[in-house]
Amino acid sequence: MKIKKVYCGNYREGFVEGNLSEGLNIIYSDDNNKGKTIVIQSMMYSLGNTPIFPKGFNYKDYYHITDFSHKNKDFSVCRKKDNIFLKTDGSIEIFDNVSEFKYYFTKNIYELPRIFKSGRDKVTDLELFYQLFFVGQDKRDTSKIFHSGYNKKTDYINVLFALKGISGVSITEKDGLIQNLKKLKEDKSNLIKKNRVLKKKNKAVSIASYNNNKESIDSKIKELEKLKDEIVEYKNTRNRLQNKKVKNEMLIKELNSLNRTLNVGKLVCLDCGSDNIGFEIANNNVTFDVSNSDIRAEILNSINDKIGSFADEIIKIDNKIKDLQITVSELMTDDEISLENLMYYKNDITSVHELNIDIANLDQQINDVKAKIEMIESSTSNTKELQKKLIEEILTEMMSMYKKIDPTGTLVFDALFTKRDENYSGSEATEFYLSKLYSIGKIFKLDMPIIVDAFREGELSTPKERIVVEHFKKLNRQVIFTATLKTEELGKYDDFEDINTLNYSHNVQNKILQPRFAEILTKKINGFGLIERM
Amino acid sequence: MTYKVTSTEKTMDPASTHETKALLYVMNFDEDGKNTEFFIVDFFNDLSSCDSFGESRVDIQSKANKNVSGKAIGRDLVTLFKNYISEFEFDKYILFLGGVSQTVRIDDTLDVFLYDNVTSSSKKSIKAGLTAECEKKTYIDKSLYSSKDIDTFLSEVVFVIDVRSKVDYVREVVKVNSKNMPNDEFLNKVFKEIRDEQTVKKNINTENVVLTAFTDFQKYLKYITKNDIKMLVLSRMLGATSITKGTPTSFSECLDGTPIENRKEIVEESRNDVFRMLFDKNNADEYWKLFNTVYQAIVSFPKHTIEELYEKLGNDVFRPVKFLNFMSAKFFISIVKDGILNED
Repeated sequence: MKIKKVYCGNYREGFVEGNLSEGLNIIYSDDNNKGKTIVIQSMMYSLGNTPIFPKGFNYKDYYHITDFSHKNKDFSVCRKKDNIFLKTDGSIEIFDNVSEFKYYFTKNIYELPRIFKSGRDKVTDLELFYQLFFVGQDKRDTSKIFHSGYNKKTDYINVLFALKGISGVSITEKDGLIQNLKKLKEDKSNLIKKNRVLKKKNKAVSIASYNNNKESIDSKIKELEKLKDEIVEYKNTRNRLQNKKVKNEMLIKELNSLNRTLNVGKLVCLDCGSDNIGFEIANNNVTFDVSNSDIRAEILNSINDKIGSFADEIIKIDNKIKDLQITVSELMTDDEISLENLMYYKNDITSVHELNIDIANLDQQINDVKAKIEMIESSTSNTKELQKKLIEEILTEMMSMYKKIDPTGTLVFDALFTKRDENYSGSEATEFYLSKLYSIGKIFKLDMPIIVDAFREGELSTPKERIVVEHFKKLNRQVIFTATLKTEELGKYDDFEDINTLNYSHNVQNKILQPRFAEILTKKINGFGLIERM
Repeated sequence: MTYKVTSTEKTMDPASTHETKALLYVMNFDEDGKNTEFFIVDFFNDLSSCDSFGESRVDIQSKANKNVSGKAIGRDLVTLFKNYISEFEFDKYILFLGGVSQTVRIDDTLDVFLYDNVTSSSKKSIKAGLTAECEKKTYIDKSLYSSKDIDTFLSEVVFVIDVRSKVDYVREVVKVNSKNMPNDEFLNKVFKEIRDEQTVKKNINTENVVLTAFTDFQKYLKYITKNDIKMLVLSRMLGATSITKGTPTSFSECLDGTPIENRKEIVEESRNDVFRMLFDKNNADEYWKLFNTVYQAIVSFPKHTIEELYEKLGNDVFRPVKFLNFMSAKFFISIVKDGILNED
């Protein structure tokens, strides 16, 4: 895949980056806030990534568009909030959310690896897959993946195994599951405790105590309200998706019943029993079917894909709701302000009924995880060996690259992620990420661009940069780096050979979107069939 | 004791396939075939054709064998000759062959040729074969022709050797956008549908029927129209490609003013209605009528937008298929319009 052009903006202002080459690119500027991160995040966001835009940039107000090509086919994708439009071959596909886009992506653009997660075999999420070759500027934490939550480190590692065809049992996965089980059991017992407290009918409330704590109580109530609203919104979205899923399931049943011809009897002469009776066809002379079996199969496949993507999205939202509900119950364990006080003054925060449902959900999840652990325990050890070898290969390559960049460096990479309390920072983190991306790039040879925003973060010295650039060039893929330089360093990339440099120094600080691009953006957005109604 | 089933469809297969190729050849590759409206099956001959008024008549004999020699060619010409000397006049006589042996043609790069491209030795055997066969056949009245008639007939016959694959023929039937061209496997299945329909027509028994006018073939329903075939192929091509994928570009204008969040739903609903229409086995007549009407409207008014076409067609045209509403009707029009190659 090669990124060709990136657009960001709306009908009034925008920015266009059209100078990317298919080789190694460095976008640089002499100061921060010149729009480099916005362009990079906008590009990945339009491709279905979960974004980390700089604070203060209202990305949801804008259209994010990327032109790219893959295997000699050109694509153009436009995203605004969760609506994604894809243009190819003269037709436009519309997607309501990233999951739907992901299903199309894996079927028609680039086949994504499949991993085993939450008891199902599923297509890797784009926000996880992209981390194999994309590192953003903010929220770097070498002990975790980016957007850690639904997807975790074990999923990242499972993607690597899947790409080499050695999925299955993973050492880390089973441990992860056992941890998960422990946490679920804890959550369950917490909820049961909350449940018991709420059921108490003790109404001995002291007004004095309320007056003393009024401020804290009020702020706590505000927070709970906010959480409640969020939960309600998620539940609404979930219901909408559930409805759509059911609608599509019913459509399949309807189509199958339509496809049955009515059984007609045979005309027989009552006198002689012969069926040689003339029949006059009323209207049409010719008897072609309305469709053939291939067409019908393709239609049913497309509906099943939709159902799959809805199921995916519903699971994700269920997890988000679960997390929020746990936060709610955590807020309510604060001993400073008694639960009864809150209940007395705000009745509708949550109900015993809802907690019971949550406990039941947790029970279900506990059973799922137990089943998975059992399944894993009865797997082969051969795959484990191959997986161990792959991780070793990646780490060896990482150390080799690290030593080339920093021959006197003292870090030792013994895992793809650092331990929880050992988060690297500054130039060490940068060297870690660069080594990792290089190693994965070399071993997996994915046909995807390598993108690092702020590739010299922590002030990597120029000789080190040179080594990095030389090595990444050898990977023979499109590479996009960004860097913030000191004013006196501004010309330094001029003598790096065979690279494309883009100077963002002249962009207005903190305002990359400008009115002079409005016309181009408007035309581009219109190209997706979208016209603004004032 | 075992019994082997023989002489069934498998052995008949090459012949009926060849007859379908003959039909599609006349439809798409013959100069006079452009005016053809009716393909008459197994009536005057294996295949005959004429225009909307029963004129521009072409008579075709189809023989699938590949290595045919002069004598066999002569024998094969007998039914064409029978029609030549009959009351009904044809404008063209075609012998559609699978192949000829090496000695037949003078210039063997020509796949479509007249008698003057036949070697003199083959000419002798062809004439001999035809004359002998005429003697044999009871349905040829010997008083109605002379040796001179055979000579004039032979100078008029067009010999066509089939050099194309089944898929080549199907591709020529209707012009679609390249993105709407399905793969060969699919096109082969469409060819089979045409062939099976031809077989259905063959099975209508008309032995010993006496005709007063050429156009009497219509009473016995032994025909397929060019339009039937064009609509079948176009409908299959669109069904294989456009129906499940994406929003046709021309439909975007019908979504003007709709908020972004609702567009997907409207497109989905419209597409589902079209799915229902395509799965409804029991309403085939109405479907083909509608498809034909929409196609004709699009081709007659190529510059019209979808809204304008919808206005022109009116609601009543869409009611009989039962599953379309005002939105999905427009969606259906867009699929067809975007699928056809725009000649401008």
